[in-house]
Amino acid sequence: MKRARKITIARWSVLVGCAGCLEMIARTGVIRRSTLAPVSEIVLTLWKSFLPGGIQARLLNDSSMAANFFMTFGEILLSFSFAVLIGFPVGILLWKCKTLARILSPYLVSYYAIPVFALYPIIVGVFGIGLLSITFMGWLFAIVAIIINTATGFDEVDKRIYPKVGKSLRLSRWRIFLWIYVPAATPYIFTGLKLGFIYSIIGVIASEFILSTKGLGHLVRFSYSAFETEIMYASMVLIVIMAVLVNSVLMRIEAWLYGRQAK
Amino acid sequence: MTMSKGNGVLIKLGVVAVPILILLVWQVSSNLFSYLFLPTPLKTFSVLKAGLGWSGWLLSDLKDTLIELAVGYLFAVVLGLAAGFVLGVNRLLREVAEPFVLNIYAIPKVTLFPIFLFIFGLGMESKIAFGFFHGIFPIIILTMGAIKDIKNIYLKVGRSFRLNPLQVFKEIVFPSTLPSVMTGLRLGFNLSFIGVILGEMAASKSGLGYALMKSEGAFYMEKIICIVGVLAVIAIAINYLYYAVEGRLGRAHGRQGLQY
Amino acid sequence: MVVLEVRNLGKIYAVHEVDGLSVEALKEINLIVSKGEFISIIGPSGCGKSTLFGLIGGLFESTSGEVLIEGERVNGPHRDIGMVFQEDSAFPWLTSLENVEFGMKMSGVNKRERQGKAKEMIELVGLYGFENHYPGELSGGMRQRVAIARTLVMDPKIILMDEPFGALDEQTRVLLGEELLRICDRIGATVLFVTHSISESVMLSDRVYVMSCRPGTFKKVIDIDIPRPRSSSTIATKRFGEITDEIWKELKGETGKAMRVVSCGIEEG
Repeated sequence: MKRARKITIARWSVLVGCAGCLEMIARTGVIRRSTLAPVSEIVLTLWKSFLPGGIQARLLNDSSMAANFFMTFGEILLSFSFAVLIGFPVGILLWKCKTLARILSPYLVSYYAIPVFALYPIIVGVFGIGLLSITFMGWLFAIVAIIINTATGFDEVDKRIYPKVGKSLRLSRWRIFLWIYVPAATPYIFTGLKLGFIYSIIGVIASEFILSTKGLGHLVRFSYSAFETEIMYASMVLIVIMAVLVNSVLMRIEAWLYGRQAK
Repeated sequence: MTMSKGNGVLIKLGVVAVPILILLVWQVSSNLFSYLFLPTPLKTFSVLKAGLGWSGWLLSDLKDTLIELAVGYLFAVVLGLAAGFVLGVNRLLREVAEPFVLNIYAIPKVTLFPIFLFIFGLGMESKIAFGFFHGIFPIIILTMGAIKDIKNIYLKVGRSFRLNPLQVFKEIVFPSTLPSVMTGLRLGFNLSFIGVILGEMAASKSGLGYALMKSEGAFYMEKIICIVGVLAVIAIAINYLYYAVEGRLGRAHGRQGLQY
Repeated sequence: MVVLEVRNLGKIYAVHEVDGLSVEALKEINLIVSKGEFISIIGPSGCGKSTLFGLIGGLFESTSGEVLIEGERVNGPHRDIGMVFQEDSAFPWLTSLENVEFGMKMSGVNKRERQGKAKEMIELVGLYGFENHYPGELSGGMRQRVAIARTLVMDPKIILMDEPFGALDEQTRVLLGEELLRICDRIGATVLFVTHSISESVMLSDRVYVMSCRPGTFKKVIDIDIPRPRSSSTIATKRFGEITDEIWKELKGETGKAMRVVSCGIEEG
């Protein structure tokens, strides 16, 4: 295991090294305090912000870090849930009806090329600033990934021998779907869910950043304009940690799922 | 799965029918749901024409966005290919860097935008840098993967023919990695585009994203729809260019062509 | 006239994982190939056949002994040595014709000349009409023909082949074996053929070197006195059966040995 250990050490050294450099640069004043806060103070601020009254006084409003975090996370979960709720059945529909799938294919494929965020002003114009618009943006961003991966997942099972096994055992169509298609397609569907969740995160937080009154994305923007750089960096760090943690966990699960089916 | 000729025609009709359907729904909605202040397609189109015409309201913002996009993407391509190549060749560096590079994908990079503003200011430079920052990662990831996956047997054949390093690169490395690298370049473009537009929407003095946020006055909705349309057209046009190249390569590499 | 001479070739690997221990993969390999001969090396998997192939081809260095091509020492891939590998090696991004032209293109031969020669060779290996097909559009057997053509067209003094038909089904193997006989006869090729198939080695070669395992070395040399020209119907003759039996007796012990010993999985090049 010597090599794996070497690599882990190298990775942590890179992280620690960068943090250390940033710390020194900030403390020695090479870059102004108002632009870059020392890492240690950022961590401290992040810690304090979760305690009661943490950042309210400085930001002169009554949002706390925790409140913003839960707001954002709630919006993410909401938009993701709706994306799955509608995306999953649509994916199945496209799998079942190949003609429809072929007709929509060029549009689905181009979907992620278009900056979906450009629609945000329209959505705000219709629904106003707030939970609905932000959740809708997250949903818009996530849903197509779920649709595509669900359809592809079931398509892949079609190409394999397993459904034929089910037929030869004279299972009912519903049973074949439940006991053969669903388990076999699970890795691909999970990839869609993983992407969907990540896109929900990105969609929600980006929208909060651009135009909103609450949430972590908004907090970054707000503290930036209020020149509270420590709080700004603290929120950024929180967002990054959250995104990376979620992504790592989902990637591990995904790898495990594919591993079980490995050839 | 055989596709009868009739079926193929139906699909082509269907593809064309979708935008027509959307236009119809649009037209009907703008009449029916007047409280939404949704302009008719016709009205929108005339505003678009005005925008793109001589000294149109779209032109200067469009120009700025395109410049930011082109420069940012160019940097992303050059540095992304280089970094992807190095990481693909050097196993140690790759294994150390891989989790960083893969995880950055999941981060809402918009929230890091203030850092770019600090470094580059409010002008076009910050958007260029932001576009670069978005676009470089898929290029690195896919180039790295492509180089790593070069089949050893082809390199063996190269050695048996006593090729010099330049020939190995030109005749073996380049053609065998081209499909994946192309995909990376296409995704990189899409992400650079998003980065530039998001940056403009967040804080800018010019550009289509800025115009989007600023749209005010009597023609607010028309302008927004026009801008979104222009963005969509640029995105789709460039993507189809890439798909065309990927498709041509596909035949040579024994693949059927693009599915999803 | 001696084309290839292998003198006392040996290869010892230092195994890094288990410090200090080394593995002698090959020991005291001696063989001679004269012009126009078809020689086979046969042995069970894991004996070092591919290692020997790589050493003779100059893909990596030996730890003892030497390889001489017409008296000249081999210390790297050589102009006069052609190699056909076991794996699918036709470049998928080039057409069959472009694949066959590859070596000539790298040597700077002009387009007209190399296209002409390549077309001839494609016809010789039986792929006439498939010049503009990509390997992805061809069957496994056809792809190997492309690889063979690509090597043959360079007119090497000797052609090394490492189980070129290994990945193909039985019928295709026999048919391609016949084709190979025809081609070699036509151009008077000199071939060193590595295989694990006894029937293949007896049908194709003038002489068979039987390898033994751990360390890999030549156990016995058997002359194949079946007259040429041969074909797939040779398989049914009595003499064929006798020689096959003789080789199998030599191999039986070695195959058992190879199966019992765990291979270190050393694969160089």
